[in-house]
Amino acid sequence: MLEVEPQLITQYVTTGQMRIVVRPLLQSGPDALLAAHAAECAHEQNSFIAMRSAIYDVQGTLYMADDLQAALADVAQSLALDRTAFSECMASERYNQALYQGYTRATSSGIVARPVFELNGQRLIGSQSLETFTRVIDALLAPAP
Amino acid sequence: MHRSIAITLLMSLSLLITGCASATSDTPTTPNTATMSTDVSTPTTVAMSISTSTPTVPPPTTVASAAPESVPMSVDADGYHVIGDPAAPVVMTDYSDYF
Repeated sequence: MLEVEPQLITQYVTTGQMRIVVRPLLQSGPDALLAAHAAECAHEQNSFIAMRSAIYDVQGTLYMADDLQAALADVAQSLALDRTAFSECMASERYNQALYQGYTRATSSGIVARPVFELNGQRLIGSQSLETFTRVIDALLAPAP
Repeated sequence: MHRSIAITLLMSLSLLITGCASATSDTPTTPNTATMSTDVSTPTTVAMSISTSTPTVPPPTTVASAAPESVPMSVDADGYHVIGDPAAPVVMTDYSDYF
């Protein structure tokens, strides 16, 4: 999704044809929870999508970090977020319960792999190419015969 | 972070095993000459540097291209973040995690 999301946003979201609903999974455990929580904390500073994109952008480095929480704070700082407020939010763990609940709802609805995409209810399992997304989205946008 | 510790422990264990192997292989198993040396070689200390520092997080490079400033952001009734016009005809729900 990292590679194709910007193109989908340019092609379909900025034109008002599509919206993306972000439903974070926690299948990779505590690290995934920390990263999802970091995006929520960034949202408090109106930077959800910037943090989401940044985490994907430096995913490999974060994956190897000894102190993921500090590394996420570094990312927040690189986005010009208030590091103190961000760190306070992370320490509070105030989004953990909502993230767990969202994850439980996803698994209850049959989401057992990652990533999974649903386009108007049509489920695509696994990473998809831009061509696949385009084909499905264009079909959904086409006027009914 | 646990992976780094595990890798470090594995490398240390590997070094220890290598050192032991070196010590035993230097000891002759069959004394066949009268001039056999009684000197048991000390395992050579292998100098090896293992970095335990936290990798530096490089500054993100694709943030600007991910979502233009003009893209509306909202949170739906279930608390999920929505990128784009809430009334857009196509809804893509993205189930994924960050790792």
